[in-house]
Amino acid sequence: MTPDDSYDEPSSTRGGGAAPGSEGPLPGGRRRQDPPTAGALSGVRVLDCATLFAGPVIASMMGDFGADVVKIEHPRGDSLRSLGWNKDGVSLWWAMVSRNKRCVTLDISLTEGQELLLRLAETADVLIENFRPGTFERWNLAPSRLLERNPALVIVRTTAFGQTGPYSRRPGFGTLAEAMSGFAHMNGWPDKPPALPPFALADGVAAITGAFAVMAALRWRDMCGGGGQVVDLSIYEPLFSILGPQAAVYDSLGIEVSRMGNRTPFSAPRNVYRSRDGRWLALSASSTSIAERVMLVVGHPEMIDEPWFADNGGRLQHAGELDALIGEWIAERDAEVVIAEFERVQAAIGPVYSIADILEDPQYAARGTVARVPHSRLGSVLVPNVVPRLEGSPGAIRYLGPDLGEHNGEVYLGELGLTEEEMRGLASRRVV
Amino acid sequence: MRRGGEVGLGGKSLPLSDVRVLDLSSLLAGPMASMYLADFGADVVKIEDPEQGDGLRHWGLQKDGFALMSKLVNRNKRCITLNLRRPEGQELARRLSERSNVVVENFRPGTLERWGLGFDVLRAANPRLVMARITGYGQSGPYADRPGFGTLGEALSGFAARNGPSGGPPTLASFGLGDTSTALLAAFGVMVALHHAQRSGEGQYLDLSLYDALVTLLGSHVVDFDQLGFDPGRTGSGLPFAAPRNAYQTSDGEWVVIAGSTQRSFERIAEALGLEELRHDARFATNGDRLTHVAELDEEIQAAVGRLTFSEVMRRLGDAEAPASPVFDVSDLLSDPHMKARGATVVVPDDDTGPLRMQSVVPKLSDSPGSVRWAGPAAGAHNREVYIDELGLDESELESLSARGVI
Repeated sequence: MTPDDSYDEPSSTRGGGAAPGSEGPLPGGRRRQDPPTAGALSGVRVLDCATLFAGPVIASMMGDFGADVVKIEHPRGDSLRSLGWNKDGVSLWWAMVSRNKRCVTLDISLTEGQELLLRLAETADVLIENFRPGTFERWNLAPSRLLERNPALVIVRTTAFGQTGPYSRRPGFGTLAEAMSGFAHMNGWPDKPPALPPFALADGVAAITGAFAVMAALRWRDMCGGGGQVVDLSIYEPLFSILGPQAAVYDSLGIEVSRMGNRTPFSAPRNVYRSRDGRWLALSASSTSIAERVMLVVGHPEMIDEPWFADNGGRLQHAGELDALIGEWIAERDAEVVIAEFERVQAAIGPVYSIADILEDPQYAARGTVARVPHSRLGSVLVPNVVPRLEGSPGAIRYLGPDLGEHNGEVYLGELGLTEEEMRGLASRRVV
Repeated sequence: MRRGGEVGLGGKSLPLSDVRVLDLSSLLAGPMASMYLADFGADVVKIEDPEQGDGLRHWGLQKDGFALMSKLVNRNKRCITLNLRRPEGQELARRLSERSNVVVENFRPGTLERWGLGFDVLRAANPRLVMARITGYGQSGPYADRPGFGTLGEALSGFAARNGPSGGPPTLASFGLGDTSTALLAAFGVMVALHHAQRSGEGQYLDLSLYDALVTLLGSHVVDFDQLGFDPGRTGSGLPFAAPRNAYQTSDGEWVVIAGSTQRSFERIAEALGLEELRHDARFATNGDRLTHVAELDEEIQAAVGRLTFSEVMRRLGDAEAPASPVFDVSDLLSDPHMKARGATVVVPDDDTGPLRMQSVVPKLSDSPGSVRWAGPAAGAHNREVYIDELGLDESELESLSARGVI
């Protein structure tokens, strides 16, 4: 099973579960069809012109909560349709990331395509793009032009290095951001090379940051009398921003944090330990009282009386000693016993789960952390469920990634009011 | 002093300046979530136990006795003390909640309820209230009552099982990844719930465990395993779907990250490193072939990189527009011209520590950007402002509350 460039011709249709949306005046006095979904963000329309990976995930997160996401794809198809793993010609990542979106094709490098995009932008609240800086400008889609057509539009520009600065026009993607943010330098083992993350971490973190920023921009527009604006979202900066106070630590103290394996510079003991039955268990004692409970449960109360123990800094200096004692105790017991003993004294310890473990775990099951969603060709696919859980207006995965151009008719004919003949013309000129 | 309508740097509006947040949480996901809200202008009032203060104040490296973590995470917030275990403290918390749009908390399920501060109670007095509840395992399910923290999120989500060298132990993150990813997701969830409250008039709570965010960030591990029975385990810096992708060491001991799954980027990498023959090697013909022979490919690239100095490798790959990057540590980052040009960090004046450098607000909003207005204040620094100026208590009441350990 390897990544494959092929995908099937559009064939399936899904049952569209239209639900009543909210009514009421829209900012900017734009015309709007009834939103096709319910949910906290129903009535918010997002144009997703972005590809791999952060931009589309922003749109996915908004779609989860009911935003009407119109995915704009080049008529050739989005590159996500051919990246990663596929089954029966269906890209699994596409199925997941394009959930809840309506898919239309449009070549926005063509003049006709640009005019259609502007018309769609007039109906939208948010537009997401991730072309290299200068590209949208070259296509006569500069933010100034988009905002002229729709002054209330929030434009998210997602690029590796951001819209400004000397590297802004360089090609780039998440892996480079993981190296340049300082993450790789800190991840892994001191005697081993810097370690990149095993998944698209930088893109994912940028996506959540971007989704939050979009909501902030919408609130400013709707509640504080603001207008539309541009969100300049680089991929490396959000990851840098979550790495902790290392800029302050370096700048104020001259200390550089490097790879520490499973330890951290701020908490001890903190590690993974192997049980007698070969399971890995993770533990972190972030306060002295938890550290005390840990040393009691592993049968070393004498540690607590050490003069250095009451101070996290002292415990950090003796992390090796503490790890050895904890590790020894855990190595003599099965994981189940260890977890029960820790739970008895209210000290937290948790198993290192593989995906197979996750799917067997009763907590995951009880909370529906993964959900099985029907798919026209794969039968059904298990995907991570919507997070966070909103109690009053929860999000939902209504369907998985649609086929190429599946919603062309609905959007172009039904909503933009194009005629069948115009559509045929656009298709023959490969605009859609 | 009410901070609503405050403007940020350059006189521009802060987008969340009409949002008031009461932060009852500690260490680390909750406070980080409220940090993101405060960065964009929300008025965050942070509550701390009068005796102990937030654990964050004792965490990690200190300067002049002040934890840098707290200086960072509590930036832009107003800090007051309040003992939630005392009935008087609970009453003050209810009054503060009535004046807030958002409450953030991370007590174990049932704790706030025991204190008469459950969501239903607070919502009854403030129907639009949004409450972010962040706990190790979430509000429901068989493990809900267990203690938990960010490291567990890294273990439970599948992250640790996938992170680290092939053949080595599972590897946790060396920073609060479980917590901070949860914090970001919470900030987004709060905004969605505020949007809903603004339209429907209805508040609600959001329920987040410390593994939710990483499960969704990892994402494809669920799908791939379900459909293909596929779990790649730990693959070091490699990715199971793209090759090459690794960190390679130069002749002068520096590390360079090189990645390129598309044919064009692979060809550019090969050319730049003088490995043209690899382009015609059947083992490396497609991304799929390269994945099958990834160890041999890594060996070839490492051999080529190892013959060159860091600056030579970067020059060659740069000229060829091949995707490559140095592995920055924080000192590289702070001296890099691009990071400087974009203001990746900002220096904030602080009375306790002197000027402090910390990461700037991201992303950058053109018309209503966020800003760092001050670094994390001392515990109780804003007691007078909040209790006297805003709740209307008088001096003697404040003194008495303080004497009795309520604030």
